[in-house]
Amino acid sequence: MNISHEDYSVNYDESSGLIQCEGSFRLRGSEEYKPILDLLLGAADAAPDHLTLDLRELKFLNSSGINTLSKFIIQVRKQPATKVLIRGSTEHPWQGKSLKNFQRLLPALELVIE
Amino acid sequence: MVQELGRLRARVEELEQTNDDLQLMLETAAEHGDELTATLEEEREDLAAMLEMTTEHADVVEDELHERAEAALRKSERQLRLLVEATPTPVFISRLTDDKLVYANTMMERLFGISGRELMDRKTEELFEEPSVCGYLLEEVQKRGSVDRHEACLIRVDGSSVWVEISVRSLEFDDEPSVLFGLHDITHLRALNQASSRFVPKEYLGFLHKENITDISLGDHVTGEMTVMFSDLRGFTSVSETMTPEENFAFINSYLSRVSPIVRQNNGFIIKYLGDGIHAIFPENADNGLRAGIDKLEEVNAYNAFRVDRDRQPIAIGIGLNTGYMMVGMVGERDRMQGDAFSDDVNLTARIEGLTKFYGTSLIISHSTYSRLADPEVYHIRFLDTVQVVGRKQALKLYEVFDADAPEMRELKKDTQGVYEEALDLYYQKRFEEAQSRLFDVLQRNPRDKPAWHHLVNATRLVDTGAPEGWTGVTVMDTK
Repeated sequence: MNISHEDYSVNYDESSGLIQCEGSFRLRGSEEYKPILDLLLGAADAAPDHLTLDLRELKFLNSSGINTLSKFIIQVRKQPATKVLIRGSTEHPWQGKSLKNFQRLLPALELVIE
Repeated sequence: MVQELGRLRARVEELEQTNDDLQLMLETAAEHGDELTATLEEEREDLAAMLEMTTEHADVVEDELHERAEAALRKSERQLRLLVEATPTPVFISRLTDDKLVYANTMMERLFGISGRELMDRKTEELFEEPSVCGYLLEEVQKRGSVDRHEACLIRVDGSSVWVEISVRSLEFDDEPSVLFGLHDITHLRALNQASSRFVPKEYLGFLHKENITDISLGDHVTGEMTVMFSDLRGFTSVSETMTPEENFAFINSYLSRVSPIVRQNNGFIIKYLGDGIHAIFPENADNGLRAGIDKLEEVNAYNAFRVDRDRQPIAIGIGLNTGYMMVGMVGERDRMQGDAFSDDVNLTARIEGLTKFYGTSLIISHSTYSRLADPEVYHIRFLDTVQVVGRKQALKLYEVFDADAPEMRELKKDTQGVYEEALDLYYQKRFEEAQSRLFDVLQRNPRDKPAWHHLVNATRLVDTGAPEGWTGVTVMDTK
């Protein structure tokens, strides 16, 4: 499943459980984020063994965006069998600071920032 | 009794069962409540965590954006400074709140001959020769946001002045409302322009529709009806013979510097100097030319009073004015040119000027000039003669302007003007004796009236000989 837009894109490969987010998420409120949230919740509900959220190419994420991602983390927590990995990049300083907070919602979450 | 006992036992059992059930229900309900509470607690924690995360994230992003904006600003500031430093023109910035200099580039330091530190904290208006000019520029830039290429004179610390063209823009500098001044040193250019305007006056440039002397090229010209003036010093050759070359130059320049500005003041300009003579034109109207002629003669009268006071010989000049169609423009070759005016009417004007010697008058105008005067009555003008000059077939009516004659002479000419003109009418009607007697009347009252003498001589000759065949009364000149 894919969502692509001038400023951003989300690619979900069901077979590998890889979700790649790229570009800049500057959407306004939960309304505009709904398509992305639906894609993420769908991935969580499929309860695969592994889910990887690759944010290395995500340059910018606004507050509604972090809200959307945290809803996904809460949903995926309901599937204890699913191991979650989030990949970030040091190139975007906000990732180092904000992404580790997801571990508060899901202590088992693996976070790799390189 | 046994039956009753059995019933009671059954009842006890029933109650016990009910009690167990109730207890179970209570326990179930309590457990369910606990579970609900736990779920709600978890959700509450999730929401609290989300809120905190979102807020923290917002802070992080905000910081990041701020830093990025700051970095971009610092970068653009660095670039701006680099740009301003490398600019080959002097630039300085002054703060609006107290009008003090807060920045000056290297060229500005060089222009003022002091370090930037010494320039700092000086009042902006102290840089200007006229502080009001600074005030004007600041007012304009606040009103319109910019001022371009305003000429002003600045004063260096050592008191020397420097002419600049200033462009001004308002800007924020170190978070304070400020004004940026960009300067262009035009001191040299101004000096050059001033020097060149001595050779090609700015009126002449304007006349040729040119802004700068560098725009002038060979063949630039303007054609149209204009009034030409020639003026000359009387008997200068004999005067100059008694002087050393230095005295000659001093005398000529003293004379020319007195009369030349009069041409300019009357909207004319000098085409060229011809030794002691002046060739000027008045493009606007004939009155400008005549007014300049009269003013020049009056200036010479004042100059003579000055000369006589110093036991020097008084001078006399002759002026001729004519109006006609002519070409004024640049002649010569590409590397050596000068302004000139030419047409038949220009040559004729030189002849008219020459006639002032012949008639013993100081200012003669042609009929074409006379007829273009807005109101000839405001001047003292009388008919002089009809003349055929060398090289021209057509006779020319000439008028004498005696406004600048000595007061008694002017009054006498005015008083006798009626009789004088009557005499000339009679003369042209070949009634020479009557003309002669009127001229006697004139000369009896004003024996120094030279044109009257001229006509009297002619009339007397014709009384004796009678008018030859084809006589028209035209005075034919056979010398230039």
